[in-house]
Amino acid sequence: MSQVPKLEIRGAIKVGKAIVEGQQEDAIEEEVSHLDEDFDFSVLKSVIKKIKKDLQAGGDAQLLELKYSGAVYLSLKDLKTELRANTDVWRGITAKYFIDQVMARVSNHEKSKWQILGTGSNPREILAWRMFTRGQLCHEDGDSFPYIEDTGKESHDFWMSHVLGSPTIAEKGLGRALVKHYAEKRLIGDPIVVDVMRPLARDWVNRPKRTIATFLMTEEEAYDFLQPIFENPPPPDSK
Amino acid sequence: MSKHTSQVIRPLSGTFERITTTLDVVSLSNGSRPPIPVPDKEGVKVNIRHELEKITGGPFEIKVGFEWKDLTEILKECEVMLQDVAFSIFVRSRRLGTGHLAYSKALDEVQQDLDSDSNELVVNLRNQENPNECPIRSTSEGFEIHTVLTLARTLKRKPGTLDPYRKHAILASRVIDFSPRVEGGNDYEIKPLTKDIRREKGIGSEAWIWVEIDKEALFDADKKEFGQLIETYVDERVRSHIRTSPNSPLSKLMIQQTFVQIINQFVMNVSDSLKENDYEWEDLADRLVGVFCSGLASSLRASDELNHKERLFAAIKDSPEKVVQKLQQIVDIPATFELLTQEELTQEEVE
Repeated sequence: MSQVPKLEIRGAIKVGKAIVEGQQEDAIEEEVSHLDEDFDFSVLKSVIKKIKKDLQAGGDAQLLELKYSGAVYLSLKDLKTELRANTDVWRGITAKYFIDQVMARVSNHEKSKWQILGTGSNPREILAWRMFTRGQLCHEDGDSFPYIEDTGKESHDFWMSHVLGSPTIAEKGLGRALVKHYAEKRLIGDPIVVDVMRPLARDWVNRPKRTIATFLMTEEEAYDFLQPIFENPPPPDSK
Repeated sequence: MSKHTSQVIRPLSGTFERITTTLDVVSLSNGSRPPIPVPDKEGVKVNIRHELEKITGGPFEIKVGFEWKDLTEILKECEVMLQDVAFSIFVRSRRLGTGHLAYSKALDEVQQDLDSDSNELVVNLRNQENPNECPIRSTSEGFEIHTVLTLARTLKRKPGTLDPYRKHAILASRVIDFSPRVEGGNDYEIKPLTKDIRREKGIGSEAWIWVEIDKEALFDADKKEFGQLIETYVDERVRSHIRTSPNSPLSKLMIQQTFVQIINQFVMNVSDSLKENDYEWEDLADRLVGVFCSGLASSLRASDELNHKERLFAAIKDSPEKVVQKLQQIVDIPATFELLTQEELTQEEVE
């Protein structure tokens, strides 16, 4: 058992800056504190080991995020509700356990990738939160997580804008049906591109919430509900 | 169609009051007329009451009272029976990424569920499929409660009219939003510092805050919550300013200072009592003072010398001014206070 780590926004920014300077270990030690709560992180640690190995073998950080979301969910699902509601805890877990993934993003791209440590107030930016929540949405009995990986490398905007950053994330039926349709389109070689997904989500997923109680839908009902628009997607958004 | 409104609980709002929200039931058409509900501006209003203290006070229950006469009249006008309309309560937490249906029944079944004395419907908001998974543990976690009237699943489909998803078309809805912790949601009651209170306690007209601590109860093994022993009164003009513009920099500063004052007063009082009675950590680890030290220590930086409950306890006893100075540096003191007020002391948590 280990104490549950936590990291405030200000500390996350310091850790982000330290990554660029190669001083991240000291910064994490300095900024991450611990709650008086114990949790068994051993399963998470073994997942992290696998991610690290895949990264060293040249794996793509974004694809690995999708691949291991289910495993991250299983390893952290027993965290107390109040801890899971605490963004400081998600920042702490990201900084303490996911630093290799964070490093892969920062070194490959630009400084703005610090946000996956949680340098903003929106929890969807925090790597550990979004992996966990993605797994939570797609989890099925038997510990399978269908369709997460099938959404593919180009699915970042889809997940962030239309699932994790939308009220849809809290509607299991609609959320799962949306992921399933999106993944199926990609699997048949007819992916929904960003400029099409935006009007589709705006006009056919979010706007109907004003008059349709989408949160009462089962996954099957939501799948039927979305089928016509995924069969005939709207024109790309020119805005 | 009905409007969505939100009731945001903010700090300094006092105890939760019994409030009444209203669902504007719109006219509903079926059969030969358009299948989607059509707004009726003169629709009859149906009151749905939420007893908010029940939501946050532990039982996680909501009480709903229906104006059956009005409701049945409008449904009759729309040629719809009670069994054709469902009443549902959906609980959502975006922070947790979860939502669940706490209640969903046709109105004729709702009538059978009513409490025979109060004639109200009592709904437990926990996720019945997984009772441990309740997004509502406090107002700090940010959650919404949706109360909706929809077409019931049992409403018979007329060919060419009701698609499966339209069975869930909303007739009326209300959303109650509870602000997330980052916005300072708190269910600790800050009382108004009225003229009567000033007179009673001998407080001058310029004082803006008065914190009263029951020193006797500080070390009482039965006292488990801060709310049981700290009473805080704040000038009514300050409360009014915060209520009117809760997100202004001035309001945020006032909130910050209010909680700084409460915790400072607590530290100074605890320190006096520790010295008077020469208490040691072992004497009080399982009391409220122990909980306070644990909670506060965890809010300090890892590198901070006081980031340990026993060291913090010793510092409160020997040099409370140093602790008070340290507390000023905690960025989110309202959140820290909230964390402390929500501590539930159990033996498992006490080492």
